[in-house]
Amino acid sequence: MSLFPSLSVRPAIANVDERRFLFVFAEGGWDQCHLFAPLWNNSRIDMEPNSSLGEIGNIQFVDSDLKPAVGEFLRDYGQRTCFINGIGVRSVAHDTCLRLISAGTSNDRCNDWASLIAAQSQSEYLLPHVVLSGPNYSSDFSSYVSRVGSNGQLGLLLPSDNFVTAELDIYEDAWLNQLQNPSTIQSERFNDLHQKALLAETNLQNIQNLDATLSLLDEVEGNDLALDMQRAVALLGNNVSRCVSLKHNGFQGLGYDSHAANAVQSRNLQELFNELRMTMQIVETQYPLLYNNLTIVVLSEMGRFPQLNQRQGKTHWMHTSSILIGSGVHGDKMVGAYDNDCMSSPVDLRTGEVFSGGELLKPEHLGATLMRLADADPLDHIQNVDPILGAIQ
Amino acid sequence: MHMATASVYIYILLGLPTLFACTGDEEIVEPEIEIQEPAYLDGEMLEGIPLARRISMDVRGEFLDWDEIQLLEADPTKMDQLVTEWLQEDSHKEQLVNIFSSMLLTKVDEFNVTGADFYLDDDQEYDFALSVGEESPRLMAHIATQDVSWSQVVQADYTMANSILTEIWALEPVEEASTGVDDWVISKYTDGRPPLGVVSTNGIWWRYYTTPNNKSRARAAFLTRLLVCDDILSRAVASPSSLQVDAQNIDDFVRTEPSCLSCHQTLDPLAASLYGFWQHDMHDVVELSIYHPEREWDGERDLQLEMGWYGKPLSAPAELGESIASDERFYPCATTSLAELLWRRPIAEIDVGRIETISHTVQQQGGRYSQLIRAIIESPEYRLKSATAALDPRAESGSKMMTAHQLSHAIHKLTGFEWKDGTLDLLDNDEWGYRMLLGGIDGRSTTRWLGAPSATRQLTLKRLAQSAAEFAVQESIYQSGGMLFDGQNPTFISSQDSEFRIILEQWYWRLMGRSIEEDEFTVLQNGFAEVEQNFGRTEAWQTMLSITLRNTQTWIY
Repeated sequence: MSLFPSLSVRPAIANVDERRFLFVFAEGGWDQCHLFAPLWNNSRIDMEPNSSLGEIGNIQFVDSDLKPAVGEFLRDYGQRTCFINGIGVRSVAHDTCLRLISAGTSNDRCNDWASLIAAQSQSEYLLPHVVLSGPNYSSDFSSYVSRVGSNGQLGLLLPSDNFVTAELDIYEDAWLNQLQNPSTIQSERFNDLHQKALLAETNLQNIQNLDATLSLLDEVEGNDLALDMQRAVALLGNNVSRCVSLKHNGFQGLGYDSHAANAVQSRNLQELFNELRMTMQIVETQYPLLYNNLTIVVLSEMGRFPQLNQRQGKTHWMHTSSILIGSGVHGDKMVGAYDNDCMSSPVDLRTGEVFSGGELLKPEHLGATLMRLADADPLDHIQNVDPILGAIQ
Repeated sequence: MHMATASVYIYILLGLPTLFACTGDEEIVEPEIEIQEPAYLDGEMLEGIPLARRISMDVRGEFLDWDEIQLLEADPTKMDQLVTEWLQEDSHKEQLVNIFSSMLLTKVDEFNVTGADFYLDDDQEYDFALSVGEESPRLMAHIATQDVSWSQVVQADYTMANSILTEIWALEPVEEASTGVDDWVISKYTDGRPPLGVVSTNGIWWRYYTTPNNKSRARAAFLTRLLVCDDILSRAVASPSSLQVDAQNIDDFVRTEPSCLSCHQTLDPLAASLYGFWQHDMHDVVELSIYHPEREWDGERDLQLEMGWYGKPLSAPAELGESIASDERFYPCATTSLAELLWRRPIAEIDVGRIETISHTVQQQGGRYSQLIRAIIESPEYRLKSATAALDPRAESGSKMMTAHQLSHAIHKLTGFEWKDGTLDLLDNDEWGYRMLLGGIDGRSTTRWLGAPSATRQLTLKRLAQSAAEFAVQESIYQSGGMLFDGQNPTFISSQDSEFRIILEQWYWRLMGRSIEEDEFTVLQNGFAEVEQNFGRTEAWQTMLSITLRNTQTWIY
């Protein structure tokens, strides 16, 4: 029987109502004293220079002329935004903190929130979790994760014309599929790997057609964050992916790890919030369905020590914040706070309010909250951790 | 005085609970060795050619040769002889470079300085980063293949260098000079650095640089993780009791604050011993490239404590290697790290007896790394095909997925194809290449080999297979036959010729370690005829080779 006439490629079936997630990493450690911790008049804390208290709705923040985008974003989307302050990451090493904030554990065999959510989707996505840039931990769920390469080189692999004719390419996939039915008894582990490979290969032709959607090789004006955000929206809005992760390298790629010249934090936050606002505008106007079910999670693995060092920089600090935006989020809300030592205050998880008898927030609480938003089962180490109900609707 | 069994050290390495914990300041004593029996592993084991295929892939990253298959078919007892030969091959060293790279994570695409900073040509940037990234794993691979104790890895007075490293660093070859980027020769630094093996290589310190505030502590943490499997960075850090600390006195704070002490009493003395590698400016080529003997004692002044290794004082940085090599955790750590990669799974509590036995035996027999490799590939855990108990954590070793490096190397050896853009090896680079897309690691955002197929991995494999197949078929046409076509021009062979079956039979034995099944042959024969009819015979051979390379039974071993 010929494979040519009957060949059809199964399209992915995605439930448009399922909540999607965009993870944005401010990698390197943002300074809570530039945004989340309004702690002036404390000699032990060096705040952002020339800053003042900003207040939009119920959200208070550290405002300054260097980063008007924060206020602009909150004016437009503060009603859909929740700041979660004072998450203790119990380490000051980047690698460890990245694993903690992304996966709730220091073990490097772990699964980040995005991979966990993607793996538990109720729908079928061509690329359940796309990592456009930044860290990814998917020890058990790597088959759900796709990368595009630091310069979008996946774009070179997508068009079959770069390798063989399109017709032969389709034929090859079908021929391989017909061949891959191992008759000999294999191990359970073999069958597991084999099935995952078959699943990926079933979708290859559709993935190859994503060339135009992803525009990976296009030269686009603007910073890398803007470009990645546009790609992320295209992937999520076209039901290709449930989760997309990307990294913000900071203003002009200077990053957030400001051991010297801490002032870069203001520039970074200006760029970050400007792009968050632009992205929300694009989603709101061009992808109305996605606007209703997209949750953006903005993270940084650590905060910064409250005092400036000799080089006007700040070292690492084991207390940080995260931002939830969009679908399912209790907007116009601040959960938790920093105390006078710039450390986490205990929180009543039900309300999100600071409460002396409450719990100190950990990355696991954030993870449990995201799992709740995603209708996903929390695994292992966060199984018995309560979500921050005060942060979600 | 503590009395401990060897198991205690393995338990500590695995992060398992023990009644014994090293706080870093007690007297270090020789443990009373009581080797725990390896746990019984009930399951089906690989034998014969399938086992040889697995060992060949792990030891040298290659499929079996047709000659080797015939040899083993004729006399299965030749396996041991073959393995001995494989352990001598250059490919074995390349495979070890890949293994050690995954431990060191030095093969990153960018360092704090570029080739241009050394006045290298633009087209040497890739070779520059590759050379720096491979210095340390190549030294480890060299020592691992010599008839010397593995302790040399922290005591050798030489390194490995190619033409680029010889040009940019204070190195001179011990014998013949390097003739090119791919020619790695034994070389010595001429800047007065102590003989500390891999600890004295620029490659690791360019990757793990330090800052004025960090004071070499991140470097110290890297060494304890690599060499004694003590991952200090993964320890939970409690918040300080309050913020009653002046930023200028933070060093006093970490020496006195209980929440800091548990890590810093180990980290800081070790960090103090590393100040010869200190760079005042992390972007200055001279600062980065040269060892600074005059700064060796700056660490003690800067950190205000004496240099040491887990409570054992060092009178000079040169003593560090001996202290590491004599640490009871050194061989168990080497065993654990390698077993984890060859068994391709986390080491579990049930493995303690096996790890302990291998580690102790190897150490007693001279401590050569080649003995360690042998011992691990002879273990039932390595040879497992399927475990009887489905929940046995060791069952995961029953089938393994070829790594990006193994795919690249094995397909190159099989077909002659190298996926390159100029000199840039596209499967050994992430800036412009496909290493991570194929399941490799970039040393920063991805630090472990991919554990299961993903869409991008399968797409990259497909493109690699298509490109390699085209290359192999074209070469066989224009170079009058080749290894994959039994020495014949494939355009002269149709699906009805007897040669067709012979070639496919050889492919299946070499790539999958077994004979082709009749139903598989039929699918291939029919498909070939169809492609031949629609596209041509050359395309039929190319496509058939491509799908054979992509077949799960080829890359799962």
